[in-house]
Amino acid sequence: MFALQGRYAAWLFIAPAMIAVTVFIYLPMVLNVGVSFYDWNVLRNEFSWKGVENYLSTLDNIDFRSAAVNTAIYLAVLVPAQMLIPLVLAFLMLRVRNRFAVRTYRGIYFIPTIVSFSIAGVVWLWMFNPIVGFLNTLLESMGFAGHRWLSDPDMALWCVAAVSFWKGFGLNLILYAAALVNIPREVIEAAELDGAGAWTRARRIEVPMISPTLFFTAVTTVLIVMDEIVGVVDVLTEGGPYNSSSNLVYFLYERAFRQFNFGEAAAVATLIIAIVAFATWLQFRAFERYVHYQ
Amino acid sequence: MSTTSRPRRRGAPGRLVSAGVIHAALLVAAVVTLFPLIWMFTTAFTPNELTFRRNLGLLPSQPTFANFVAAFQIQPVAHWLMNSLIVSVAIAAGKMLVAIPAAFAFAHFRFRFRDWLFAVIVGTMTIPYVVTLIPTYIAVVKLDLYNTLAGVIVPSIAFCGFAIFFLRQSFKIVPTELLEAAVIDGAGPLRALVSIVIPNSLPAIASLTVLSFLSAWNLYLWPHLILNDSEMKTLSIGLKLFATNQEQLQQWGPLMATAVLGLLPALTIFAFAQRYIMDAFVHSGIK
Amino acid sequence: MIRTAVSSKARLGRRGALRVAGGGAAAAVLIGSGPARSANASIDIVHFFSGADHPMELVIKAFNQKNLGVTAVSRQEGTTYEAITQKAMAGIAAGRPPAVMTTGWKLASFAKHTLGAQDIRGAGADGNAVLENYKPDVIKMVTVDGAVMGIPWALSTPVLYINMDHWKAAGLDPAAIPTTVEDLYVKLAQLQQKTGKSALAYEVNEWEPQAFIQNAGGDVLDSGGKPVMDSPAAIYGMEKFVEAKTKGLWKPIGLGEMLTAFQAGALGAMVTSSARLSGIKAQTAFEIKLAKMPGLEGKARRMNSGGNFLAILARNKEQQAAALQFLKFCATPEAMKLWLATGYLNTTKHELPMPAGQEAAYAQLADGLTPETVWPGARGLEALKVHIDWISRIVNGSATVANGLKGSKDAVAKLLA
Repeated sequence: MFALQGRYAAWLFIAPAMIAVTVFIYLPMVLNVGVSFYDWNVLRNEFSWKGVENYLSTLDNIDFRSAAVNTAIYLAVLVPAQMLIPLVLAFLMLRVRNRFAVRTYRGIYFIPTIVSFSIAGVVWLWMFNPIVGFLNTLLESMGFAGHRWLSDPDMALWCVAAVSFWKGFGLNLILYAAALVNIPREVIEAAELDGAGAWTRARRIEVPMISPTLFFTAVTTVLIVMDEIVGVVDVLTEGGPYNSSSNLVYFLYERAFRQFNFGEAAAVATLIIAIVAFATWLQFRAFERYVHYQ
Repeated sequence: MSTTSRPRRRGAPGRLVSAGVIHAALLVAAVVTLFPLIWMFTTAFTPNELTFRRNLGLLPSQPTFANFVAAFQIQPVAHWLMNSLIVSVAIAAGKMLVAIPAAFAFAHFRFRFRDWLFAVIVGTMTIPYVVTLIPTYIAVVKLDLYNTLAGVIVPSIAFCGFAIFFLRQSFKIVPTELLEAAVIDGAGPLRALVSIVIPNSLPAIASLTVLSFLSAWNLYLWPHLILNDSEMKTLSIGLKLFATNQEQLQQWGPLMATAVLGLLPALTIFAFAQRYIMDAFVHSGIK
Repeated sequence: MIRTAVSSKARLGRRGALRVAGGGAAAAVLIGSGPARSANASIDIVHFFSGADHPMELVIKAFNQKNLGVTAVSRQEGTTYEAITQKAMAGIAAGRPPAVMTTGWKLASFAKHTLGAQDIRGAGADGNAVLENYKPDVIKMVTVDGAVMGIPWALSTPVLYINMDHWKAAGLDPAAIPTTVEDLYVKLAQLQQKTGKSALAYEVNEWEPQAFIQNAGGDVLDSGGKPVMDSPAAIYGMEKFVEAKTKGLWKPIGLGEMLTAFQAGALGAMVTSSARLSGIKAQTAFEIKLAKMPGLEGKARRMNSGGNFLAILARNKEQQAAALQFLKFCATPEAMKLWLATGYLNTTKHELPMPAGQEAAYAQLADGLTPETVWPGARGLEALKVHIDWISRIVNGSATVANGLKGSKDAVAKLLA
């Protein structure tokens, strides 16, 4: 393999990136653990030592527990949904011959991904409005009863999940579509000659061939569901009614910026690191055996 | 849920699934995907009084631009658009400046710890950004960058792991013969980057710039925490202010007009760059 | 433009330069002029009232036109007291607290202990003179642990809004507006049955249940700041609150949704702040009547209030004196007259014309209002949220009134301990 020489060039080239990720990602991550043992008194600008107290009070908090349970529900519902449904759509698109149609579908499905969380939020806020919103108007015009949607503690979480799904499925779809297109034709043709039907081909050939992409999206989707849902939650429900649609990141936000308890918020962040690290490790384990690199 | 149309796969495979059924399924998914946005456009062009009447019509009966005019009067929407533009351009440019040289080095140089350092950078993709939130917030406040666009821009540039990962893949495709020839001609590393690698990877760089711009345009939590004066907000967070301002009561028409204004730039850029973005994904070989 | 940026940099230092380089420059390009600055003392007034013609802006403008050597700069932030509090904290942490901030009454204790709000009487020689302008009852509301935390600025009280078109359409007598909740529910049931409209909506927060709890003879926190919201009287009041839902008259929805519903003519009545009247009237065509919040049968009414006060957060003497100048102006009839257009109540001793339609709120004020609950201690804000969550559980039926109030009491007691 050809490789450029140049004494310090490579180091100079990577220096800005290394400095940026160190200063703004790794260092804060470490500092965060530090902050979680303190209490920041803004008025006197002092940090006072609290030890593990922030962790104990967090774990003892019922709002934290419901946020943790909700996070688990969001992950359990959204990660499979945001992988399976786009995968099915990608397979269907593969069977469309008309290139213009393919491009149009792809473009449309990707649009919610470029819609910001707040736009998605206000648009759906308007759709969900119980009095003049589209959904209830439609339901009631068809003779069904309207719902309270976001104000209903049994529905709020599902509304948030639906909007997050709407917002997020397009990205994975594009990745799957790209990966499927990249499968060498000969492989597919060979399978067809063997008489494999579409279902068998998908299961035996196509899915294994794109397993690296599936793995990649599994990891990123977990992050997206953990992190980015907070924008939807904030605009739609602010975590309510009574935390029924909150998640850990929103809980952290409320602790830090609504109740100004930075120490506890940092403790929550540390717990989030642990949870995500664990989930990622699980995924590495799960995919290790199945991911097929060419 | 209305958002999830599920084109169901037949028990026994593709033979039975006619092209018509496939199109129907894809079409339903497309309509469900687009509908909320179409509804937003409809409301934006409907007189505000009429938004309080129940209506299922997709075309406003008395189309008007009044909501757009009102939006600019109710909230500093012009500032929001300008701030969004500044923040997005700065973050996209910053990410490119940081990512392009790094991706080049990782793609075409051999040096000690290379793979290890690459893992350090790409590893940031698995870190939820909220875990950096509090220390970074405290630092921004203490450095007196609170309520400044710089406070939003600078820390955001660091989230360039995906950019480096993605560009490295595309830079690797640049034929080594071209680089060898340049080196033989006496080009230094910088010239090799500027005159060979970049021109040969323009679609990838362009699509990544667009993606970075779009993600910066849509940033929510961080600007929400850092920008506070109403004139300092970006459109993305200004909308939340607009939506929840009970002093001004419920102005759905102007609110949707503002949402349209926030969506249009992103949509326009995407429309122009769509092909490159899709192609870049196809060639990126994300795995 | 570039010259402006450079000269601002020299004067304002790093922060100013960055602001100018960012939003400031954008703003200046768009509106054609840079931010006006004078050699005078300049003070930031942090509030959340938006719109260029909002009375808050008019008051600030009127003050600046007096040329008193102090320039007040309007800083509108967010829509909630939490959002402006976050801004203030960031300012304090950076060593540059805003001079004046509108602070929710419920945050009075937090403002004192965590934000370091100054006692008005200590902020300058004029402190006492400023306070002379206000009704003594109202001064009591902004006094925390013996310190006067600011001037009582925005005072409002929950009142009943009735859509009179529906009221009449249901054959109800426009002259006989119910004075008790029991009577209200009977009449609204008739309204709902006759018109098919949703009868009523309450806000699901700490404020409106407080009215019911107090009208039943209970309290949320006692005078010592201890939670007592699970007393038999409080439970009785809360039962009456939730009765609207169990009787099928009320489908609990969010505040924004409730306002949309009322404006859309989909509601017979709602209970909300008297300060919303002008905004709601501006956007509706039907006749609206404001009535006193109905009391409970056989019980003495003890209505509560809410809103915000103007606190001085400035630390140095010069800024404090300048801030006091501004508060002094706010206490004048001139400023108060501008301000009353919002629908907030007159807290001063000045005789000023009452805005149209506000008779009920002023009558309620004349009856005497209790302050908004002040949530004490470092974890007061958390306690407030926990309490609201329990109210929401009760309203949504996932806790009985007695269990919910007990749950709130236990959780709040733990946080305030």
